[in-house]
Amino acid sequence: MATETSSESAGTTAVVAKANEQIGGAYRALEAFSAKRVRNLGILLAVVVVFSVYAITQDGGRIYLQRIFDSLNNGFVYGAVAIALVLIYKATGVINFAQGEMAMFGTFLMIDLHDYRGLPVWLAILGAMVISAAGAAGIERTLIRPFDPTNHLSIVMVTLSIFFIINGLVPVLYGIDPEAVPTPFPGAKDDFFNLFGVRIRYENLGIWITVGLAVLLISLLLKRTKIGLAFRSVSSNLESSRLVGISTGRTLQFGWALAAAVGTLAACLVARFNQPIDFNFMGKVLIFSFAAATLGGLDSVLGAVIAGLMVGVAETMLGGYVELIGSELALLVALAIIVVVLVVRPSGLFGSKKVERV
Amino acid sequence: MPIQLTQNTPKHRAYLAVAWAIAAIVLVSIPALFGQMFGLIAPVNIDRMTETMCYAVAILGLNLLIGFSGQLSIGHSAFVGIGMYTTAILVADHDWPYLLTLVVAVPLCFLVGVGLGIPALRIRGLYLAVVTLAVGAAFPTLVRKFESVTGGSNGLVTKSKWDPPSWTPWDRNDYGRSAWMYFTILAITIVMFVLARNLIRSRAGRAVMAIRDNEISASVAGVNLPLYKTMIFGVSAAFASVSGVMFAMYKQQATDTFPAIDLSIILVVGLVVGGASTISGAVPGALLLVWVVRTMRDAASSGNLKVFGVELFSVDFLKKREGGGQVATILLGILLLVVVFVLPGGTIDGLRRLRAKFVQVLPNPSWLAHRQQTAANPASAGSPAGSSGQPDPVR
Repeated sequence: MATETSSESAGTTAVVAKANEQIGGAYRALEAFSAKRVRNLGILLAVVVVFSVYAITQDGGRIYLQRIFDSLNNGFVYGAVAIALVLIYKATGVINFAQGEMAMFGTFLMIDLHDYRGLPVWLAILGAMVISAAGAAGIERTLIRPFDPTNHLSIVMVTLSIFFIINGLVPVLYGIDPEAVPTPFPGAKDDFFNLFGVRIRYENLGIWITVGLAVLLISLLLKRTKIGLAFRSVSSNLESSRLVGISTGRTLQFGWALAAAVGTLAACLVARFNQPIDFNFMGKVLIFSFAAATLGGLDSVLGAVIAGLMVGVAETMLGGYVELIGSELALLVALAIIVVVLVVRPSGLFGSKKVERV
Repeated sequence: MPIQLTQNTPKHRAYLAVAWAIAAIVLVSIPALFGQMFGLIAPVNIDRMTETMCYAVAILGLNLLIGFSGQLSIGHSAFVGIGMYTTAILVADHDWPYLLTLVVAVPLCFLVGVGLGIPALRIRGLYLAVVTLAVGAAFPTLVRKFESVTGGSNGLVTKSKWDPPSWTPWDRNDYGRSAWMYFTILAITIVMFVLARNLIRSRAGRAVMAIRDNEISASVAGVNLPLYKTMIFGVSAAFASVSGVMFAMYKQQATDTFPAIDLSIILVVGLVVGGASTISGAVPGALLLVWVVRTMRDAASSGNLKVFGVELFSVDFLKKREGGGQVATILLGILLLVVVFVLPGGTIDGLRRLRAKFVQVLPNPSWLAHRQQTAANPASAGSPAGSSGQPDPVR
């Protein structure tokens, strides 16, 4: 608003501006649900409905619901590891290939703390998360920060070498024998309750709640705290953040530490389903989480969780119902769906589009 | 003080001739060196050189895509696998000769590569990495799924046909077979390197590099983006399939565990360690993958470091510990880390800097201008003088 206008006209302008803003907001909302997007959502919904009808007629509604609930386990865990990938993508602009191995190391630390140092499981998980976070902060300081942030190939290579180092280090430290994994939740055979005839285990419920809480805490951390604000600023524009006085190095270090802690938490929870675990157990989880992070849009934390759930559900449902696919090809079909989604929306479901300038 | 040579002068030409002659002599005499002069366990070492060449061609193909066109792929193992299985199926079930299978494998992989290049037009960067990852992860699963054709997880064994023909100097024993295989694969490798070099120096190669450097500028300058991006994907896949055919020749079998995601990652490692965006970088990259990594692995699993069968030292700590073999993986990681920190341009960059301490090649402006004009307009090529003003038009 121009300053030299009289108070009366200023009032009118304010009203007009407000109206404009409202119209603009409505327009943007409308635009967000443009015809194309409605069509895409419609196609997606139709596919899901057709598949559900087919599945229910095939085996009945109870098994359908049971499978959905079972698949949520994997979904939440893929989502949690995908959050870790997204945080590092936001911080450094690369996919951290070592994320799965860092989390795997964290899980072995947890087992070590629990089995050999006698900590209760919850404390062991927390301890492993703290150690992983410290380790990741150290990795960021010594191995990532020396590189120009735009030098992506080198940074990807550094994460690959961390992958190799941890993948070799864990069997040397802890041996190659598979280990049993403790759980913080009641995990006996009959620890479950029935809901609509569906069996829900306390253990699974615990995982959903834990991951849900973690997501809530992370989004609060990013939205409500000073370091979170700094992190969002750095991931949006590194140069400008440096100019306004944000210590970018330390902020990125925070991102790495947070990602490692989330990854370790997720791995400690998922390890239970794959037990006894050896040092390669995160390989498959990482591929799915990688896919989930991409599907969600690589720079969206919420998108990562939603996409993780979608990938988990798709994997279980397709593998369970379509005989031709089976459990082995489920991975492929899930990935194929992601490829299709990416062709339609090249920056994922919730990712921000990149505008390029020459 | 390094020796200075000007381009295209007799001295420079002599230098090049001597360098290439030495390279040729070394390559030709490797079987003899490893086999007869030193009396080492011959076929094993010759076969490792053969394997090195298989990796070199795969890295070369990947470099065309990652290094020269800037599209990231971590699914090239699938193309290697397609080449490998095409050859294995044709040789094992239909009794084709090995070399003839190239005729099927290369076009097949080119088409699959172009097919993958089409979604890559819209999807880029790390998103593309996930798409290619999907393809790479898909391949071994598909092999297991279509067991009747591929033999599933039992693999597919081809009959050895590497008896050297009668006109060659070798006997029909292990050594002769290894040597004959070495020279066959060497010939293919040389052809592939020359093809790659010519491709990169051609109009298409310049277009591809322009796309890598800035897509928008390239398209403004008239480069057909979809055409060149899909083509380079196809060409890169075709190179990978040739490498797959070579692997099938070398291993004389096809297995589902070999062309898995690990191979894709290993190839990227070899590419970066050798030198991204270089043709010759594939050679040190492959040498490293086969010789250094293998030596480290053997050393870590046995506890003895042996080079050419000579024991250098032994580590008792590793011998007693289960999982001690994994030390090799740690060493690989550290090696990769060291290369990324110390030689950001890869080994080949380090070698070039080393060479520059001894020999410097100075540009010859009039010759360059002449060559440029010849390339731009072959009809008017005649006088090298006075043609320096026209820069090469961007096409």
